Amino acid sequence: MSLKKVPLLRDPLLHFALIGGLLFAIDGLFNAGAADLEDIVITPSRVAHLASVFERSWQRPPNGEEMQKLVDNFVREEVLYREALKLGLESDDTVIRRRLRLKMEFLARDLVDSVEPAPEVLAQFFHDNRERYRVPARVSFRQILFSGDHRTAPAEDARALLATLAPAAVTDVEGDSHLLPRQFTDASAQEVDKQLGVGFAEQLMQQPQGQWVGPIRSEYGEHLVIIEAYTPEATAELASVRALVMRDWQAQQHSDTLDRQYLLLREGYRVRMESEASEQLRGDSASAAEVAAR
Amino acid sequence: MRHISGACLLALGLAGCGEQVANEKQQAAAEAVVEQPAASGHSNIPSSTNVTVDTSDLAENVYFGNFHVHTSYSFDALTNGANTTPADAYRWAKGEAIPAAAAAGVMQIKRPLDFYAVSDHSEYLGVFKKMQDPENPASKLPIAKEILSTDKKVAFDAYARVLDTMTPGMEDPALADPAIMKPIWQEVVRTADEYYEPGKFTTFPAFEWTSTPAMRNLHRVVVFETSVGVPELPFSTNESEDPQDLWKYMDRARANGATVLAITHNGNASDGLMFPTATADGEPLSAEYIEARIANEPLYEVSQIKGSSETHPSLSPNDEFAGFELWDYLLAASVAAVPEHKKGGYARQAYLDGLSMAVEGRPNPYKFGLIGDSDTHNAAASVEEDNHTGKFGFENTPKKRLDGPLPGDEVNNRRVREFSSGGLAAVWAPENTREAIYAALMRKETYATSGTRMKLRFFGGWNFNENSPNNSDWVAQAYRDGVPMGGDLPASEGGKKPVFLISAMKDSAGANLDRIQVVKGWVENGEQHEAIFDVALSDGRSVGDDGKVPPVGNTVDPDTATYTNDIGDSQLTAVWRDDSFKPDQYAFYYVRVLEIPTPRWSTYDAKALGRKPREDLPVSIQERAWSSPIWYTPESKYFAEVSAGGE
Repeated sequence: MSLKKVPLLRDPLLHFALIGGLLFAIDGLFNAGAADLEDIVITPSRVAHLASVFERSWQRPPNGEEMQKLVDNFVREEVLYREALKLGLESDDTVIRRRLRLKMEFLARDLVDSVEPAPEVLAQFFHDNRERYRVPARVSFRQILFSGDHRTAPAEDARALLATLAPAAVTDVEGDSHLLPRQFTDASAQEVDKQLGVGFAEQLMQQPQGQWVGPIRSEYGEHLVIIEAYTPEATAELASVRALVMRDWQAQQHSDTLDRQYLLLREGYRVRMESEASEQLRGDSASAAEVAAR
Repeated sequence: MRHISGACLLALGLAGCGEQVANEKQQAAAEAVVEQPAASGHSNIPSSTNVTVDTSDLAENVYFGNFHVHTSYSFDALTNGANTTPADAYRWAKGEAIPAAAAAGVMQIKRPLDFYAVSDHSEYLGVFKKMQDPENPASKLPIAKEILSTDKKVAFDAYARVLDTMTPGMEDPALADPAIMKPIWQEVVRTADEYYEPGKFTTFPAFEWTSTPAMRNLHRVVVFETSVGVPELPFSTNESEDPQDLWKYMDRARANGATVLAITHNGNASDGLMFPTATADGEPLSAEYIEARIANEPLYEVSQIKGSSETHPSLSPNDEFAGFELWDYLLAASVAAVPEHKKGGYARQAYLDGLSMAVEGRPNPYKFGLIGDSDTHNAAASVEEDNHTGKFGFENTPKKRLDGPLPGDEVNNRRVREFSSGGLAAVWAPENTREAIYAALMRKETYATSGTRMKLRFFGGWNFNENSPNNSDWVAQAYRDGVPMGGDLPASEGGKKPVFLISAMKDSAGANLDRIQVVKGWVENGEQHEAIFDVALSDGRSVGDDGKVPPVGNTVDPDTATYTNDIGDSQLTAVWRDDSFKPDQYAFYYVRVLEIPTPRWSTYDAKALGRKPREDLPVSIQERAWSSPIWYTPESKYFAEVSAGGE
């Protein structure tokens, strides 16, 4: 049987898992009873991890020779890493200290993401921040444009048409051609002003409902409008904005949690400042303040 | 066309594709058909016709936003003063005030945007932000001290050094550690999901791949439709600076369930590498390259902070409106190197080069649509000219922007002053959702603006008549009888000439319109041609016998940084037929709409400081929109392409 015909047996990962296991077995055979030896175990998941790191950079799996080097390098690193720990080299290494701190902080943040707040907690947060979740007034209306570019007296033309319209008729008159929505549905003042220019919504909201009125001036000319529905500003129901409240609560929790985690752990420590150190701090108040600000 | 042999391809002279082809211009304005406004009087009010068109799926709304936004999670944003997060960016786009970096105060947009995507650099994602924290490991790396220096010049140089070393195999392993990057990328994706409000405000997970071989810009913004299937890590130039490897990454993401596209930008800083017609070795672009480029890169940012790149005056010497907000530099931090090659760096020339390839029987790799975008490095896209807060955090006051953020570094200060305020992507879609906007990006139903929110419709077809835009439901009819911007004209019908319907409305908070132009490019006897037609003019102007159009005027008062809408029109419409059309010629058509002159951001800044505007910058500019093109493919070729596509 040729190896080429069996893809699994050509897989270098499998080779190394097998070789690793074999070495481990041989190691055990020859060193039985040597209690002072430490084991370095090359697990299949370790091999897979080394291969995937390689693949991320090179966009292909390592070949057999490359895999061998990756494993050799891992063993070398593991030996030196363990020896370094025995010498306590990690404790005064800034990079290691701060990586570990980062990991602690990520752990705390991940905690927040996995926690579902109790209903009353979310409700309280919603209550405390309810101004943030107000639903603005909304209006549904149709409009007919009398273009300021094309007409010498657009307002007069609008009034002339208004006189012929039944008060609440559904008319097929469309006015001048334009790229504006003819029908606005549940639009906020901000959305109306975005389309028609600042100030249009304020004029619009003062008009009676259910009848053609106008003209109202926009950035483009004069408009006849008929308001079909109007919903005044209201406080939101929690149920309708729950996702937003949840997002804001989590953002708050992220920063709170980091502080809480620190304060909690901090309780286990007593910080004593030597007198010379406190003098140094006072002497350089500007940078101390800067550090505090961060 | 698929059967042309390799020898034949060589015989067609592909090596010549790398050389400049003279652009033969036409003073073509006299051919323009300017649609006259309807007469006054309510008796002339058109009624809707009885034709019923199903409008439920029509792209009835235009949405404005940005895909190219950096925060402090980008290495260069943090070094240059940003202190904002992706969440801050989304809050800003929705209209909230966010803290400006360094200087006191806040940044707040006057009119919120409809969509936004934070696209931080994937290189060293998030690590530089961690450096700012003095308790963080990264802050003790040798370079950290310089990056965090309060001396802006030192910080900028450190940024430059990182940028210069950002090539595969050279990255600092401590900075590119996946263990740091993974949680940050997950946070970026999750934040996009959290701020998405379907129907109101749309967000996308995104990143920027920052390939910069020899200081030449090959950058792409990579946008995911949703968070579904998004890979564990973004792709960075530390992995590869070859766009073909980015496209492979995108294919792997698709296999993982993602839907993803890439957007090219700043060909102007690529020294001709953005739109190549041959490989670096002078070989024709491979079929794989062309197919992958078409599949992955439907759009190009033609206007952003680092300048516009529609065309360069040296490529289009007869275009009086070329040269708008140019930023003619390579991405070198220490010297102001000017790109030698303009061809290959600008959209119009790329469209022409694409046609030439099609004429030679190869697929056209450059059938991309246009958007405008930002490239802010401080969360706030800052597209409002009178509310500009600069690209980097350290440009956050008028004085820093005008005098330069880096005292004594005049090379870089000048480049900062020549930054544009950035642009907007305008997208026609049925609703403001990820799916609807993403679909519009893929079909290129988009246009670019230099920051204005003017509206622009552009349709091409064979059967439109002169009255088409006067019908109230003309848009629905135009969709039925023609194709919108970004589309291909169907096969011509027996000797007809194509007709284009164009309608533009000014920004509801902006300046009136000066004119609508159609830019046409075609290839005739192997030579590239371009022509510009003035198809609608404001204020009753018409094209003179000499083919020239009188200028619209200029109301800008430099002392007060104000203008008035006493000139120009609020709306312009044209029905334009291409009488020079030849059915056997490949062609593209796109629309450019100019506003009347308004103050440049630097003029507003000068006013804020009580000074005269700087003399080395334009006092006023004509903001504008550029549509995605509509392409025409000769009939026999059209069918060949359709059938080839079906194989």
